Amino acid sequence: MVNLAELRARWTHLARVYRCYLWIYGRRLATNRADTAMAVLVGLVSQASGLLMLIVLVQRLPHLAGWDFPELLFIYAFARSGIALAAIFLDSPYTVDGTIHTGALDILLLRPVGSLFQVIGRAQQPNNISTSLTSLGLLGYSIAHMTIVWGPGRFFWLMVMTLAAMVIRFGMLMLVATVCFRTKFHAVLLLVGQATGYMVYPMEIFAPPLRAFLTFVVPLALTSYYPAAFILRPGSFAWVPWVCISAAIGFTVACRAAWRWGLRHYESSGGLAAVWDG
Amino acid sequence: MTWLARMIGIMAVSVRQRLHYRFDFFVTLAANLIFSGLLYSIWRGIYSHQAHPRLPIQVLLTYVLVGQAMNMARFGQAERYGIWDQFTRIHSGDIALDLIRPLGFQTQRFLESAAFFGVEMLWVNLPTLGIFLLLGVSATATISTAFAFAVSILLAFLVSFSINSMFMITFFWVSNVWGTQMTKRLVLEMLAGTLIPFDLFPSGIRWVAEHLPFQAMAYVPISIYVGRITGAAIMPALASQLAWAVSMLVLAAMLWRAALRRLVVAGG
Repeated sequence: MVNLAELRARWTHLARVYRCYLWIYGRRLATNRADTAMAVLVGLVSQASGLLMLIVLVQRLPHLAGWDFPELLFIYAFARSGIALAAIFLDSPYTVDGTIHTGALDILLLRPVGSLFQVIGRAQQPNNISTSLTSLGLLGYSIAHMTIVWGPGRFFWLMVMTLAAMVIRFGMLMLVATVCFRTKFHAVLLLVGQATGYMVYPMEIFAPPLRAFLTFVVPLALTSYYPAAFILRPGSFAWVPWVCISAAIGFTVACRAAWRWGLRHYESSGGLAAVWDG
Repeated sequence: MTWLARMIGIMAVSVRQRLHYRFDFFVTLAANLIFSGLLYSIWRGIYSHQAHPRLPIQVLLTYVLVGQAMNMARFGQAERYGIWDQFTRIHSGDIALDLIRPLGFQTQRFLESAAFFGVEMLWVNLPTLGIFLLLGVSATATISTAFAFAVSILLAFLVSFSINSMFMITFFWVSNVWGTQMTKRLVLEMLAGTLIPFDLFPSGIRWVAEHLPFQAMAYVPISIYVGRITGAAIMPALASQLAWAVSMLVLAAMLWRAALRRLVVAGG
């Protein structure tokens, strides 16, 4: 029997701890000003480069795979904002390697909060702050230039789908990252991460085998094109919310299981990082 | 001949360092192939929707894929480790050891980079190009074009080295290495012309890109390869690359000299 009061107290405690992590993150941004400026610049350059590519690709086409320019911009901005928000709040897969191999995980295991929660809380990526803000601006611009009506239902699905996309991306990367408990596998993680940068176009332009691979094997398309397509044309993509939400739940459960498996096989390597982290 | 032995020694150490992590080269090769495949699909898909393309599809696909195979703009594993090494040296104080060696600081970095470049060319770039040729990407039209392309790639390396050198100076102030690398990569990929041929740029951006040094890293060599620069136009193109290479190398050396004068090593 689940004790609701206990559960509520636990979640409140976790929320407080996470607020502390965000506060530390904010302080870090304020202290390391040159780094923060560089992070803002990365986001802006990245956005400008992606946009230029999109404009060049579609400048002579009234439609691409049946989507007009505001819709393509929406798909692009949805994908970019999902990636950027996930990178800001759920960037931990990229830190798992270092946490394990430097011995910093020893310290996390001694603390009275779950180690996976701490790994998530400790890792935020400032390089994506300006990307997420500009992507949200582009989302607003594309919505304002569309012919379809934007009611509360569509905005609701926009939020749900963004959240699902963030969780799927995180889950996918985290599953790869947990292999670091047994081996040094960071390069593959970088590969999957970089591939997300190409998922900002309609899937119809890819060959069917590649499309199937990106939807069902490495489901990057579920974090970008399909949720955006569902928001714009719910009738044609009615299967998307079910698949996306199921995938998000599935990846969360799989991640938790993989992390527990990793901890069972974890043998501390010790190291100075563990001392410094404390 | 002592100086020659020193130079060969530094290069040999660098080659051994890189070859020690062969898995990284396989990953870079795999990444090259995967991302090239994605770009190929994107361009092919776009062109299938276009009635009057500005470039013939075979030329465009060859341009994009050769650009990915011989990419001087994108950072490979070798360059990435070089940059991390440099960052670590500056922040740990180990740079002091480099400064007391009997070879100039920039010369040491150049020899290391040249060794990395050679290894990566043999392990990643040429195999990628070979695979693309097997898959149907057009080869150069003539042997002389292939020779001009090879010379152009060497000059592109010099420009690439000088830009990397200038970019590494930011490590005196910034510790966000990933961010600086990303910024550089994005700017270079776009303005060097590896992702999109300049012919497809909006005219204003094209004019800017053609007057910056980045085009010497990719646009010129790839244009020679696909035959957009041919015959008598090849020599002026190579000369312009050489001019960019020399002026950027001089500028990089001057900036490093100024930066090193400000350097304070607090132990290490």
